[in-house]
Amino acid sequence: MKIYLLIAKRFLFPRNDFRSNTINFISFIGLFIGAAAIVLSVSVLNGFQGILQTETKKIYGDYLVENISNAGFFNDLNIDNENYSIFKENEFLIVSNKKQNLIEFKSVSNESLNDFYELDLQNNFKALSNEEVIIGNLLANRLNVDIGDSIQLISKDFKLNPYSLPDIYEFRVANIFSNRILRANDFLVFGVNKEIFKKANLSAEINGNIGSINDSSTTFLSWKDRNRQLFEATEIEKKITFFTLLLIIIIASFNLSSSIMQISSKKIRDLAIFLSIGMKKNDIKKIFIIYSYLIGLSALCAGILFALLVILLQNKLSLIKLSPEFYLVDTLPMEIFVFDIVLLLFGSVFLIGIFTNVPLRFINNLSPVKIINKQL
Amino acid sequence: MIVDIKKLKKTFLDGSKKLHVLKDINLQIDKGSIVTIKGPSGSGKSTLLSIIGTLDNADSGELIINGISIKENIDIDKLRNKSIGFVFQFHNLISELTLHENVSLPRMIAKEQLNKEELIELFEYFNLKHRMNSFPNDLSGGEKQRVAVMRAIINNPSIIIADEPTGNLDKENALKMMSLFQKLNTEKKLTIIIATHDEHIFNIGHKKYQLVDGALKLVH
Repeated sequence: MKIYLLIAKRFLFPRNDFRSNTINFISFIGLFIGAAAIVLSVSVLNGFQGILQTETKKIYGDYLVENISNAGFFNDLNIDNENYSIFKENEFLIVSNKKQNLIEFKSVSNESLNDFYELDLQNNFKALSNEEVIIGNLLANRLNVDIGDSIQLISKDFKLNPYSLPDIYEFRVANIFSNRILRANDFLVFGVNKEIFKKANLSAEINGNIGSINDSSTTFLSWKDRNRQLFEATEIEKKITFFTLLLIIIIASFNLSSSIMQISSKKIRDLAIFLSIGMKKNDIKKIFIIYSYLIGLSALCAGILFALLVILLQNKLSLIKLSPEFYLVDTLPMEIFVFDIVLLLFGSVFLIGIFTNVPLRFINNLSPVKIINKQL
Repeated sequence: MIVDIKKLKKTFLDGSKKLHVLKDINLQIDKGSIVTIKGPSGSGKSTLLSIIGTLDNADSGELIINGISIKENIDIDKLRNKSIGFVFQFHNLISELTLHENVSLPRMIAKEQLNKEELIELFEYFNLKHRMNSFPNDLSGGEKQRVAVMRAIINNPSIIIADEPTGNLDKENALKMMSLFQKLNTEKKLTIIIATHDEHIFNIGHKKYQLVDGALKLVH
């Protein structure tokens, strides 16, 4: 291998050959840009996906268990995980200031409100009474209410009470939370009152690992399953971005292919000499494969390292600012996973391999006699 | 006998016309001898040497080198690497490699270790020790051809095939090359087959042949 590497290196950096050096540099730059573009774009998508994930979990936890039989469900399962919230949930009409909205009333415990859900509250948390609720800031704006104001909840199915009137429950807004994920601040209302539910079953949200739960009669829905459409859309967006930017690598590989074609044509006499002194045709191909990977891998690694440096600088120094009004965050989030880099490297190595082998097919028909005798 | 050629034929197509370049060539070369072949341009000297050097195939006939019949099922590349050294009209050195790398190439292809002292000794033998790390373009024509000879003998081959080795050299360097071949033959017992136009070189052959109309004729 040493000899092939030596020859490949010498072909890669020819002495006093500006043209060949330029061609190699262009191939290098193409792959460098492609690799850097993929890592940077995917890191931004990962960053936003991570924020979506974090914000979603603040409201919904990691897993949802529906229709659990009783509040002692978790004790019956005998699991160690204490980080869960048991709740009842139903749809209601919220009415205030002659404005109304359809909302989801989630009745939880004060402990859960304090420990389980990570609500970004306007005021410090205080335990709720049965007549108090916490609503989202968008809903508060829509209804034109503030902390301390009254609201009414009306059962959505309009079941009439014995006086032929729908059940109306009076509440006071005790706090307002912000969380713009999935518009939770527009339709979610937290409370501790469970008496307003007629038939709602118990559900629970869990944080952490549920690997130890072995109950085949219960279905555990992860936060991803519950918001499948959103997260599948972001995953698809990420994949499409990855494969679209991979086109840059493909174009750069074309360039690499053309570079190999040029250098092999230029060095055809040398190749004939190699054959005449006993080198096999496959070994000559090895030289160009090494040549190609020397350019390809160095460009890919340089591009990846450059992108990682940019990600590091962005995460440390917040160089690119964003408006939190539109993007949830005030700096561009960037996050890259080893898997993404491994996928990029393997994909690129595969592409480079294919584009290197195509121009090398002529070596099979190389005739040293013709080349040496004609001094091509 | 190191080379045994029996009824070797080679034909080329020139459009629809067949050119019988080599017709029933029979040639036996003894180990340690110098064989010279002369003939006009296009007479088939280079073709014959290419076939002996396993770079080209004959249409029919048999070629035996070192007792091994050259057929398709043997590792011809390995045989060429180990048993045959080439010197061409042009030096054909690899311009991107230094002289010592050029000389070491056949040994590296054979995946054999090259002793540095051995290499230095070889460069000293050819009076080129001071140029070991130079590149071919830094050398004169005669020096380049000497390096080509060094590359041809580095693997201690049984045969050196030289096709017009002095064709690109001035008279002085051609004479030096002639002396070098004689020295290599005497001191290293190398078998050397030379195709040439040059009468001086032709006359160093222990056996001299002329290639006329596709047939070899011994010249006394």
